[in-house]
Amino acid sequence: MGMGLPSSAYKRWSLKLNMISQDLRQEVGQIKLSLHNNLARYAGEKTNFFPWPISEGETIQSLIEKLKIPWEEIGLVVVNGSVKKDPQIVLYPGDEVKIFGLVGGG
Amino acid sequence: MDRYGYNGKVLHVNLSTKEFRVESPPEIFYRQYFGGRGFIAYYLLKKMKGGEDPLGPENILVFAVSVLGGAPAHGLCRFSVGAKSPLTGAFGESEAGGYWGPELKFSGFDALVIEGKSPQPVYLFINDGKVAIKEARHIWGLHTGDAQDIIRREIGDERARVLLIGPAGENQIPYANIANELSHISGRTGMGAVMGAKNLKAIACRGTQKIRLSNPELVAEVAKRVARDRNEHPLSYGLHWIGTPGAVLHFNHAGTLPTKNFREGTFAGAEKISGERMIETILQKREGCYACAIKCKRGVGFKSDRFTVDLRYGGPEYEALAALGSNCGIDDLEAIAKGNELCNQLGLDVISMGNSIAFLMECQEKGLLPASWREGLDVSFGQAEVMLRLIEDTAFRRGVGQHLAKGVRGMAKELGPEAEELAVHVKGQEVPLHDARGKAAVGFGYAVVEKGADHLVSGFDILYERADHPGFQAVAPLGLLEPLGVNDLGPKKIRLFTYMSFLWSFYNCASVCNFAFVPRSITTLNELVHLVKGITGWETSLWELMKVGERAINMARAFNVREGFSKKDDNLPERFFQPLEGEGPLKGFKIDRQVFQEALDLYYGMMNWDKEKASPTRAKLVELDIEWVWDCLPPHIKGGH
Repeated sequence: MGMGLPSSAYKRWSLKLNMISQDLRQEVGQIKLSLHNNLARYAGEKTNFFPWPISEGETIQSLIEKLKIPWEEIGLVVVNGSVKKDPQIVLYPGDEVKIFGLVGGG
Repeated sequence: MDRYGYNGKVLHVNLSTKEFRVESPPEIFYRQYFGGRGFIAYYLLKKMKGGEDPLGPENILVFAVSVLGGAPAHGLCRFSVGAKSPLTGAFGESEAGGYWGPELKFSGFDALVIEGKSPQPVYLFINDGKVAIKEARHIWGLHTGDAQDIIRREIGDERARVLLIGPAGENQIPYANIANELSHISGRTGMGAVMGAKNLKAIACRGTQKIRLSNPELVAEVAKRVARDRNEHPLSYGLHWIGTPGAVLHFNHAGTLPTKNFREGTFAGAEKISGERMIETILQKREGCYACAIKCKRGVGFKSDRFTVDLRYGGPEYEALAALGSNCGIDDLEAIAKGNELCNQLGLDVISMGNSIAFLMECQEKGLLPASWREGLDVSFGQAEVMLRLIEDTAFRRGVGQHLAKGVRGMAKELGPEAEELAVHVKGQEVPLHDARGKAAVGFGYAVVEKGADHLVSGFDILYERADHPGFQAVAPLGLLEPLGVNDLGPKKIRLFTYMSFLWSFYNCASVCNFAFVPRSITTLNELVHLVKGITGWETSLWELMKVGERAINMARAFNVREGFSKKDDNLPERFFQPLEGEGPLKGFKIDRQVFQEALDLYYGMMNWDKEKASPTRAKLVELDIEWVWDCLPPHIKGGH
């Protein structure tokens, strides 16, 4: 179930690239985003969907990097109800994106 | 002699003769068995012979804290209760947090061994080393909350910590639980029924004795580090923010949320019973146990037009949400919270209760339920009001409750082979709310663990599937260096399971909470060793602690062997060998019988147990320095070595 995660070097590189490029890209609309479990703290501890702007060509990976969530804290990404394992999947305005953190049950 | 951490005193109470005795075991006893499961297994092996009636006076009931329990650091709050289980006939054991375990230590004792049976209802009051047996006829039959209020008033101390059973325990329902502080529950293996059978309603403790620490600075250092970082670490922060109910939605998306008696892995109503929804609606506060900075427990209280739920009884954890919710096809969070409160008032294990109802619901759907069992009630999936009524009826063996009180195994036996295929239990204990088809090691643990299906044996597979997972990284000191998939039941997973089960068994010996320590939480293995050193002064190591855990498993296994348990009892319910139904991502997945059998043989091999008898070899017992356990085994087991 784990996502194909980039190496830490790649992570740093892509984050830097993203920071340079994100201002240049056009905001194309909003997704509905929710962050669960340990990720709640990255969005003010909300429990429901909230609107979040995306740029053209926004992927799961670029979204997570913008949110500044460390990869190791992510458990599952669910787009429009189904689990997505490929972080390069492109997001579109109106998509419902749920990102789950780590759980162990119990 | 300098003694740190423990009191050096075990209190023995004979309820038949009303006699007390204080035993002062030597240091080596504490170091080898530590407390909890280790003490329970020791006394059950030494003081019983095998074949006793779990509800008879000859059953031994042990409450054990540990060398560490009650020390001023997070996650050392737990105690274990054990006896021969009326639900399984096997080694019975249950752990709970809260405040009672530490209070027993403050009152001067490390453990309590109870034998015999009182001729009439009584409760015990342990007050700074003094013991009194008190009349309990006037509180017999009362809910846990009402009984606790009266006991505190009678002994004149509102701060007394009270452990007690409800009507279900008095009525010897085989999955009756024991509560302390009303919301901390020793749920599993029916220990409440053993108390009820002994006519023991409650044990109140009050103590003022401080636990002596060998190196208070070392203990404080670890406690401070965790208090500082608990909101930074993703696992401990998540436990506080949403707690175990956070698993509902996650598991639902992963396809592992037990639904309709484990038939399916996704539930259409998952959002409605989720931890997120609980935070938005009925959650009132987040609570913790003695000295804990994490505070993972839910405090739920509300008054709606349908229900009033009292905050004193805590709130539904993940297990309750899935047992009374998705597994019964119920998407009504308020009704589940009410059901959880009822279970805690009446003294019923919410896992066994919920799954017994779910089993009955599926039997009705499949036309396997005779009209005489239903008594006109529609026991179909999704009926929240019926679920609530059935909980009450079970505690008092009324109506359909007479049947539910037999548990899943008991009911299935009477309903016939078709129903037995739907009976999700191991060794007679209802399975916790984790589908073995999405969690290979958890499922394997269900099969082999001595107390019957239990989920807190080796940790969840999801903790070990990714190299960057903090849980996985935290177990590297054990030599577990390769992440393994959640459905992997190959040799490497069995190795991981075996090592992790030693660590978990140590936790159960040492009052350690798995929600405060790795791999499920923040406190590291090195910090664990520092805590043991700081508390006891012993020059110890992770090796020694792991061996304590392994020793206790072998003792519990020997208890089961003496009771006639064998390889055939280390099995999984038929349901997990059948394809998962529904529309979830794991649809069609099933456990391969041959892979399971190979895993079992490999496990016995790694344990150095006889593969045919599923029993410890003499060499293993000698290696663990418990050769005396060999003498407890029956002759047909010892022959051939």
